[in-house]
Amino acid sequence: MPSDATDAEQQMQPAEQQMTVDRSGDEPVLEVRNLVKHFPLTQGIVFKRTIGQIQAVDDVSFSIRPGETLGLVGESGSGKSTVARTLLRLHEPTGGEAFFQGQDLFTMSNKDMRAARRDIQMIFQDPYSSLNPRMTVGDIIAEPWRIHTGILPRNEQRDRVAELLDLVGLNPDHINRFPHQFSGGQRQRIGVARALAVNPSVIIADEPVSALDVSVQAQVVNLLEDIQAEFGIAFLFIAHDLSVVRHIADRVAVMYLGKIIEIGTEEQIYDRPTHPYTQALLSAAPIADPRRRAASERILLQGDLPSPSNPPSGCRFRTRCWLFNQMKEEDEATGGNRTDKCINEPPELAERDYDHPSACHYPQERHIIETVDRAEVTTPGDDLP
Amino acid sequence: MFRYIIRRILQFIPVFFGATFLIFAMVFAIPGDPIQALAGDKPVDPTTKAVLEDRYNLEDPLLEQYGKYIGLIPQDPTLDQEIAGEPGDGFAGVLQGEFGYSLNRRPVSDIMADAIPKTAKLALMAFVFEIVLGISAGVIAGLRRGSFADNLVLVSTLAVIAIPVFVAGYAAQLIVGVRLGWAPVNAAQATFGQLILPAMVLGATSLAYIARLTRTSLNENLRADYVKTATAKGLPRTRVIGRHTLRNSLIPVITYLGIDLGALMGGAIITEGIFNIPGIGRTVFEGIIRSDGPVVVGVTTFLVVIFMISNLLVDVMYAWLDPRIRYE
Amino acid sequence: MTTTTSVPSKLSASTVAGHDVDPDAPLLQVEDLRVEFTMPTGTVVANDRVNYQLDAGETLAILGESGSGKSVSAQAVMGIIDSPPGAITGGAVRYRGIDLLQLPEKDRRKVRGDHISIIFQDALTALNPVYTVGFQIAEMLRVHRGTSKSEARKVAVDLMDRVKIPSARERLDAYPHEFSGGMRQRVMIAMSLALDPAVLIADEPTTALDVTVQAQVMDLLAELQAETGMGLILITHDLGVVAEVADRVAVMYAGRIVETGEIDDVYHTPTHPYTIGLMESLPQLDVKGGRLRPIPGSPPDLTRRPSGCAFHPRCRFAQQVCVDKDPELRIPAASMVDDDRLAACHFSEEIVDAQ
Ligand SMILES: Nc1ncnc2c1ncn2[C@@H]1O[C@H](COP(=O)(O)OP(=O)(O)O)[C@@H](O)[C@H]1O
Ligand SMILES: Nc1ncnc2c1ncn2[C@@H]1O[C@H](COP(=O)(O)OP(=O)(O)O)[C@@H](O)[C@H]1O
Ligand code: SF4
Ligand code: SF4
Ligand SMILES: [Mg+2]
Ligand SMILES: [Mg+2]
Repeated sequence: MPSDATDAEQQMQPAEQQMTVDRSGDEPVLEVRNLVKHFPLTQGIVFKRTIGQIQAVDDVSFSIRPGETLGLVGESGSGKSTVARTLLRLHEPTGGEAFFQGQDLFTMSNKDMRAARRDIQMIFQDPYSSLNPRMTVGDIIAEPWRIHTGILPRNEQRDRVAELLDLVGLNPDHINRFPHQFSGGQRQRIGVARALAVNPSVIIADEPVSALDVSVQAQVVNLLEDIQAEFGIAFLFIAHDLSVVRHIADRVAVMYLGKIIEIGTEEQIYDRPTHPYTQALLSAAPIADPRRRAASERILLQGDLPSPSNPPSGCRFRTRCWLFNQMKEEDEATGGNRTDKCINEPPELAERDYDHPSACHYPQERHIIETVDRAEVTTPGDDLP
Repeated sequence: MFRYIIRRILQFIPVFFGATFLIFAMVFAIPGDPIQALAGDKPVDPTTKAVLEDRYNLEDPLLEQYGKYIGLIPQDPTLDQEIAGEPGDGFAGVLQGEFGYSLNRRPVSDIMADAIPKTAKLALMAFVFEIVLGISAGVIAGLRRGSFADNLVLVSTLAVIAIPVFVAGYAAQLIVGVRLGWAPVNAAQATFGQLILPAMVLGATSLAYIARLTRTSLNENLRADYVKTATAKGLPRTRVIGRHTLRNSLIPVITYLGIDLGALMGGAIITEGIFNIPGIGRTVFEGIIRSDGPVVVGVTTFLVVIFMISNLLVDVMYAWLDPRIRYE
Repeated sequence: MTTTTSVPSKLSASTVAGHDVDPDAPLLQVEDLRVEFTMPTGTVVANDRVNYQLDAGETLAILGESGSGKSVSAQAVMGIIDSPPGAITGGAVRYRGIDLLQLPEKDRRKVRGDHISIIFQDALTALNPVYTVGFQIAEMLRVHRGTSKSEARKVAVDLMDRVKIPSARERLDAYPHEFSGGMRQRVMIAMSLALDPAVLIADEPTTALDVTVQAQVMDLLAELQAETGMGLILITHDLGVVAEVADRVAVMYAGRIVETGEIDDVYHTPTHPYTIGLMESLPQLDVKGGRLRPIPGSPPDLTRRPSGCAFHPRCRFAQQVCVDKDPELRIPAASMVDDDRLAACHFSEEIVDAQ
């Protein structure tokens, strides 16, 4: 077991380099710069007044390369879905840019946007509510071809639908069934087939497996991995489940109250987190093995997410930050004033002393979980003696 | 809560002016000449016609007529007043309690003062009748779903809803009044005794709706998680139902009742006609036949106010029953 | 976690609602429980031969995917099954030896909330939206104990303090929708603990909450359990939560318990293919790389329960006997497994040997 940190690092180093070598030549397929989305907060019935702004997403930047999966994690209300919806212009952005294949999604013409919507597909959490209950599965999957005409001639559509159904693990004979005749996991497969119908280069998946039971969730996770490997699709994979994200993502961005507070490779975030929030999040997530029950003391966060309409000054995390509290206590004894900076200055998302960006004035690497390799988790084989 | 009520009242202002102006405009746009209509087939003497037109400001633009009528613009002196060198009546409109004169020169406020109490009495009796019986029937049916009582309520309310009011009214009058002789056929004096049967006829349809609404709502709420919690807390069933289910179930019923109170006042036309009750329903009816604008507008304006007040009551009740909406 | 020394005050009484307790009986014992729902599409056997036992101070996790019958079994213990369409058609629920299913309703009611309490997944819908939280907490004392209004309010404040709701006194007259998700669940917990029950059933108490808040609530429950010595039944679909807090686990599939045992043992040496499948399909926080191994297919529709072993259409070890014969819940005769373990599989022994 590579419990020794240096050992783990040595193992990691080559993998990381390999990844950078592999993909450094690729231009990002999607690059988001300083994305801002504020929702007006209104009061009054006859005369609506804007009394504030819900800062759902505030200055978020990231990029995704072809064939890569970027995981976006955070508590509910942290702005993950808003990022996704704004990228597809389901909400108009308040500010920022989003380059898709070199063109800014936010300033492009409606015609170009329609084309871009074809290349960027979305998969939702609740497969049921996103599938029209009165349409057959065949029609649902073929729908994109009616919207974006010219992709596939009509007479070939039926065969292609059958192929897609087969690809996502559904019985092609069920082409005339309605969504309610499928289970939750199967509906999510329909959603995947619909997204694949137009050969997208990016799929934004907003909590695609959160509503599914574990056994079925694993089927969909594997399916997503397979289609990515086969078609080289880039994924923005949004989830609140840290374990699923670790499994599926190459890189991970952690959001808190509308901001990305730490971003890095899967190893950097899970094995060497430097932001106190990432550390708390990892430490709060239960580990599904009593043998590996969190050895280190659990970092318990106090309270709930503050309101995004009135975020704390300086560092948005400071009202719940354990490091802030710890420094404050220490400083009271020594007369220091480190926490003033947390209160007054919003920390930039930047590399400070570590190899990946973190939005904390005082980042420090902390080892939260003992990573093991899946190969070491033994299970019985297929055949009984 | 107080701010909530104030806010609701402030919202009434545009609604009041909007609704009354609409009514005013529509009534005074009724095709035909009201003065000619008043005179019947006889030709009208042009001088008389001028006097009448002056009296009702009929020569002014519509908006100005409305302003004078509602009491936002002072009245011009009438011809008589002008001749006598007197000033006009000043602001004398609905806001000041003046509803003008009917075409046969009776003050509309007098006509309304005669008719309103009778209709109000009828509507209130119908209201009490439908609340008491409707909610009880709904609760019994809702608590014992699928039972005989439930089916009885379902079938009988369906029948009541399906039968038009005038059919039910004449049938009740014929059977209960004429054949059985249990109730007076004519309610011209609108005494309590006389109004019992008309009130039942008037309230029957709403009663049926209330019973069904209560039943459905109760049924839904009985399956609510918090009712499960209440049972799991070890509360007696009477308390689970009385405290934790009924109150929540009545919220949609209250909404319906609020709309219904106004509807009962306005919807009495048929019932009043059948039972010969001289209430506002009949007054409006006659007003329309005679193109008597001031009467029609006066009564409908009054109804608008009643609608608004009952709506306010509903909102207050609603906010009291459901704390979640107080903050909206 | 079983090392607690405190004992719930309830256990000193020798009668429950006027019925004598059996001093040697376990705190709670569910025997061969069967619950059916009569639906237009057919009869759903939501619980079939459900057996488990709970001791004071112990945490038993009931683990299973949605629709496996976890909540139904909890509601059967509480006596709050929706009826109709549901009915308990067999078995016993013994609380300190007294079969609750045989009690007249008025005595049964006295057990609810007082001796056995429950908290639900979604506190927003489980609390009555039209009453203040203070009213709803105080109601327990007012109804069960006849406590005066002002006294009950005082106790309610204490309870809210105990579950760490900040400024409890000011928040007493607030309505449920004015609290955050985590705080609402604390209100639920305060309410369920008002009468110091001996058994607390928590039905997916943290499923609707974020991990950081989940951790707070699970910590609180563990702390309260250590304080009071109550037995805790934790219903969840989350293998992580189970591993972190449970002493023992009962795995449910299609209305049956398919495996029970001490938590470490079950996770080390699962003896039922479904338990194995759950673990293989779970992405884990501390495991990197590799590929998940899902259980094929999806859980059965309980109106059309597969013949024999209900898991056979999804089981990679299934043989003809699995299609024909429903396995009994029994102690697997394997050396690596102690006799605290029960599993409902024809091939448990072979599966243990293969590991
Ligand atoms: N359409 C909207 N109007 C107003 N506020 C919104 C809207 N959509 C989201 N929000 C707010 O933005 C914040 C972030 O929401 P969301 O992006 O859905 O978070 P997440 O997906 O991380 O749970 C929340 O506070 C939410 O209330
Ligand atoms: N109120 C009800 N009416 C009808 N069927 C029910 C009801 N409650 C539960 N069931 C049936 O029992 C099965 C098990 O449900 P439940 O115990 O809620 O599962 P879970 O393990 O997700 O808690 C469900 O699949 C459903 O068919
Ligand atoms: S900047 Fe300060 S408050 Fe913010 S995360 Fe870092 S230590 Fe905590
Ligand atoms: S009895 Fe057969 S089908 Fe059922 S779990 Fe065991 S091996 Fe699988
Ligand atoms: Mg979301
Ligand atoms: Mg459940």
